[in-house]
Amino acid sequence: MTAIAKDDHILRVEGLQKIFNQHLAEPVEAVQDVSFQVRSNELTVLLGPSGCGKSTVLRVIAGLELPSSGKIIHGDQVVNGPARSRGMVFQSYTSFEWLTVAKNIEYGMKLHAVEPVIRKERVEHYLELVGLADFRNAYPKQLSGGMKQRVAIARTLANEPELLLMDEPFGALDAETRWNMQELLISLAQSTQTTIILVTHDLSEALFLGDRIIFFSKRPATIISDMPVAFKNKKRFARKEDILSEAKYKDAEQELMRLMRSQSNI
Amino acid sequence: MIAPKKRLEIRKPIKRLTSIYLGILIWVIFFGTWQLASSLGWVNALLVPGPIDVIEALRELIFERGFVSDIFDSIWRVVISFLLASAVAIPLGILMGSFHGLESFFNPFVSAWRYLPAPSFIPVLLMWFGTGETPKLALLFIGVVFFLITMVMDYTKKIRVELLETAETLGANRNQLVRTVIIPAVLPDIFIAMRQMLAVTWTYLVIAEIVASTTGIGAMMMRARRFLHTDEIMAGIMIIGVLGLLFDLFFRYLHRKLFAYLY
Repeated sequence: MTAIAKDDHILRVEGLQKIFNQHLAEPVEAVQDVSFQVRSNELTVLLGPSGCGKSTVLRVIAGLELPSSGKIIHGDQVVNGPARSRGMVFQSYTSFEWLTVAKNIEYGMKLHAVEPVIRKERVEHYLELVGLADFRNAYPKQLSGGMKQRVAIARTLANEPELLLMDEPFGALDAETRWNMQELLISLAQSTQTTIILVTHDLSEALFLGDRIIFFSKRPATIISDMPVAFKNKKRFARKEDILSEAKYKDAEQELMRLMRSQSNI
Repeated sequence: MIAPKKRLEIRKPIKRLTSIYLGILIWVIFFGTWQLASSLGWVNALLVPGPIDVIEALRELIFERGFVSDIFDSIWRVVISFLLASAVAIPLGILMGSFHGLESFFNPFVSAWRYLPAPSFIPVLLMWFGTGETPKLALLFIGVVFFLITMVMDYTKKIRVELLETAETLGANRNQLVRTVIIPAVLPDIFIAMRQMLAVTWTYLVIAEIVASTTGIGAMMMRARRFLHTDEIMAGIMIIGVLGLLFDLFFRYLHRKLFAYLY
């Protein structure tokens, strides 16, 4: 790892390009030339049409893929692989089904030999935060999709990452649960002060959750627009219906919809 | 009350009790037909004794002729060789399913051995190991271990990559990944593979005992053949069936106990 001078950005993506070499097919360029920075405590949404390469950007940030050129600098280190400091929540359910809810949440801390007393405290804390206190001894098989995602989020947060990376975390959930989980995420972002980067293709989700939205072109991904969600005035809304009464909400959604249409493959 | 329209019966659920009765019924029909065929003289009763005669022969074997020790010899052979095969196949299969290098190294070898029929080794096994327990255990081992390795490897490879990636982003190192994700994730499937391969072990057992043994269920059946005791041969088959079923039930019970979180 190379040491890099510090500034107020916790993460810097510099000239990221990602090409996938395929078996029996031409190489695919998923990400072309992407650069952006992320500040501490910011909730950044990566938005773009399906299959545009935004998830690849997130996976490279996580260290699950290495860039073909360019680099990711997290803190003062160049990312060269996955690390505890960059926790990831996936769209598909990743609860360890052989562990109870409490043991799932404890999992990361156990890997790093966190003291049992602290472990227990944090498990309780996060069980409470995600509203699963009554399910601490349940196994994932017994949980609904939304609850499984709560387990995944609690497990990642309990491991105290500097960055929480989320790849369409609510994409598999029904509308009501998704809405509910979005509000939960806002409250978690507030209470844990975690920096979050979230990938979605859902416009209303992007507007509700994002402090800032980075919009990607269709594949190969380049940044088309990178702006704070202006009408929110740096506020976060706790309830989804409150955002609808904002005068500028419709304009913002309309703007995103136009962008989305301009990049549509269909 | 609305009189329901007569619906097609396809995939219509039936009562549990009905299902059990139906399961028993086929056996009743089977044994009934067999008994009839034998007592009405449709078949030669010397070559095809009826189920009552077979059960009588079994009773005699067990209570008067020390057949129980043969049964235990056979069980012992199956259990020991199966444990040995599992002790090799499970760790190796998990490692091959986890690391491509190990897969590339071992798999061409393991795959080839799967296609060599284990009984074809009997002559050399007898030459190498004589007539004691070793050649029998070796035959069962060879017959099972390569299949078990492949099954365990395939199940290990089927572990969803997101589970591994999640653990990695939580900071798991390679050892921790194998110990805390791969092994617990694949264990229930390994049990299923073991259950299937145990049935195969029983098949090879009988071959081993028929060809080269003086004890065990298979040996008893070969002795009975010399004296045209068809009833005893059939009693041996029946015992193998019952033992197979018991082992299967035991594995199913163990699966439910050990992996209760799946049910």
